[in-house]
Amino acid sequence: MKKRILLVDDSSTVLMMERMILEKSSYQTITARDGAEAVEKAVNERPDAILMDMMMPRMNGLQACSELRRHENTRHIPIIMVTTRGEALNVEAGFANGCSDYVTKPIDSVELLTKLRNALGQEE
Amino acid sequence: MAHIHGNAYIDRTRQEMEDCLAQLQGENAKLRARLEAVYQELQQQLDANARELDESRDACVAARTQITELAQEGRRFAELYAEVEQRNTNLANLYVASYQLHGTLDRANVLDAIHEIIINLIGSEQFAVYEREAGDDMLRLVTSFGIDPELFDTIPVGTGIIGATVSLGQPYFGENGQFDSGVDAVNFTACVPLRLDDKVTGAIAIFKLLPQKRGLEEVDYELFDLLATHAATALYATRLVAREHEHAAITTTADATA
Repeated sequence: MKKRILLVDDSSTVLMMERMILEKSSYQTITARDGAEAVEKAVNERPDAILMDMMMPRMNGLQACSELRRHENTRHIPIIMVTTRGEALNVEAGFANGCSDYVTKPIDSVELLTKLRNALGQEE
Repeated sequence: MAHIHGNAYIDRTRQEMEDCLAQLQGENAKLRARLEAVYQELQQQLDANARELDESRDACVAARTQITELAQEGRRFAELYAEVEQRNTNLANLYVASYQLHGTLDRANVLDAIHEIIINLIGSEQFAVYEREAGDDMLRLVTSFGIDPELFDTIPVGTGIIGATVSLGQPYFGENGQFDSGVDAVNFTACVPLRLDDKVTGAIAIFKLLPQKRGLEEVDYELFDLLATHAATALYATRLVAREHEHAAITTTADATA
């Protein structure tokens, strides 16, 4: 059974890129355009993992992570930060808010797929 | 009983001893023969074992060689796979960029697409996009990110790196040095002319990459090539559409007042 990944980003370019990378590797994808939509879709659809952009309108990625960690149904879902700022402070903030791992933009497909497999506990 | 004396005794004793000696010699010869046979058998066994050991060693060496070759082939395939994956990702980048640029005829959306391509696919945190009207010698800033737009709002064609890029119609990349005009190349990563047929209609100036990006990669140059033509075409298309809408609005107004 294919794993389902929730992709969260306000950039349609990034969403398209992530979908192409993941669907080529046999993942199913769901998308959300901001943190609030991400929380709603995660609660309703219970994806196997989430790729979360940090800077978004309405609710940013850190806020969405915190919210998802509070929900009983979503607190176990691995969340991978997708960030344009790879400095230690931003990464630490992500982990402090409940992220499991991170990748930086521009996205490297090999790095993304490896970290996703690790997050899902899959072997290569 | 008669006692045997003298020479007869000696002769008999000698004969007994000679018989005994002959018997012992016979047994000795048999033993030697047996020993020789056992020795030969052991030697043959030893030779066979040595041959078997040599064959095992040769097989071991051959197996090690094969394992090494397989490992090398495995590494080669892994490198090839990584190259193909990278190539696929690069192509995906180009496809996404092209799709986003040509997926809309709205100017604001095209400029957003250019933003997203430069920030998310190339990985820049400071850039500016300029356009130039036909026959105009001034470049005007149409969008930017991470810079003060007032400082960069107009640039005369031919002035500075951006102006030189437009007048020469050639891209500038920071590591390649300066133009002949001797312009200071500090704080400039790349400048790419926007081209429509043989005309340069503007430029994209990349001042700074994201901190985690070490430098421009092959896919970035391919994205610059794509932006040079496709961004120009997409922006031009939005002008045509805007003009058409204006014309349609004027015609509608004229019909209404007629």
